[in-house]
Amino acid sequence: MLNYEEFKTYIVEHIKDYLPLAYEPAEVRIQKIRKNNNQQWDSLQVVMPGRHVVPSIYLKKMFERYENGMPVKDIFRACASVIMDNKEDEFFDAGNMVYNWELAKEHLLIQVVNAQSNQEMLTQIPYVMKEDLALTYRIMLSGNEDTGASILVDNIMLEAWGVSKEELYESAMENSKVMAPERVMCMEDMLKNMMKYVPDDVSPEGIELNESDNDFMFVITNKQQFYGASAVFYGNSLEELAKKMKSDLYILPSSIHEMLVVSAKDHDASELADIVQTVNANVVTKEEQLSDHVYHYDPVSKEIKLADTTMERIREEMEVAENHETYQAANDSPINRRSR
Amino acid sequence: MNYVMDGRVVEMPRENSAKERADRIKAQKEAYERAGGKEVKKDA
Repeated sequence: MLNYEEFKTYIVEHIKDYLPLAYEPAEVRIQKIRKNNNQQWDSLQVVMPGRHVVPSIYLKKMFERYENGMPVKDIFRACASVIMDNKEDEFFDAGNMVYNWELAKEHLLIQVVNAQSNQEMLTQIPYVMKEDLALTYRIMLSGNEDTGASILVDNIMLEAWGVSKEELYESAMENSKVMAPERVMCMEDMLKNMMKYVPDDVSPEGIELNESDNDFMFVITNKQQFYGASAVFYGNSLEELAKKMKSDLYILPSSIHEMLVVSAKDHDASELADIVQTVNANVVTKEEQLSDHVYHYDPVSKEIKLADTTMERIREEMEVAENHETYQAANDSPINRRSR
Repeated sequence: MNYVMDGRVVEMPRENSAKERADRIKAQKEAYERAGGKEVKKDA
């Protein structure tokens, strides 16, 4: 049985044995890909000369299959099948969008992520802070609505476009509302909808607030149901829900794809935060987690604010963590180890 | 599975199964109900 490092090396050394001879000049490489919340995944790429689009196979997932007993030759065949499934033609317009603002602005989508967990990524991309969350931007690649293929907008693109961060935010917000309109459903309807992916023509449009016994908790997402947590920042859905519930609201970050909303009446924000933290720890994958905190929506001011903590407290906690890391790094340094 | 385009990662979230997402939301609903959320709302 190979360990993960041996597995990676073995795949790189032998993947060409499972590919047609045409792949002989290709470069086989492993690249670290940064996912949401600073998750680093090894990506296997077989790069043909002159190709701009390359399939990226996450070796961690392949290794899990190997550990679960999948024969190595079947893993190679699965990888080869992905490598030969070239999507370059489908993404042909994406290369243009990267450097053309007029094309890109019609495809912008807002994605909300946790600012603290993505500090490193945020140094390279434009964003807007909302409490401890960061609104980032993606370009949806046209013709790929079924897969949701998109790329993250970075500072290099922003510079090439020659637009301000304010203009980017306004265009992305405007376009998101049109391209990925919000969906608000009671929990039961949402679950039914998710279990059988419903095509657009029969999917409920906009804010659907049926009266039922199950309407104590609502889900806010977007039409596509991915990166839909950002829909709470569109404004309309929270306002409508607050009217329906005749109260302020608490927003529970389910994941980067959706938010849960309950009435703020008779609920304790700290208890709700405990639930969010438990669910994050046990059910939500690290790369899909949004936040361990609960947010309060005030229908009068129309503001979303942290409910179970404050930004000041989060900053203090970050400072303590950073100091702790610095202290540990200093004590683990070779100089200190020698002097002990 | 994802793609890399000129060094930029093309994410494809729809590749994640709808069932995975439904399971996540269901777990959250159940956790909330266990904590008394539904009853509080009904009594309110």
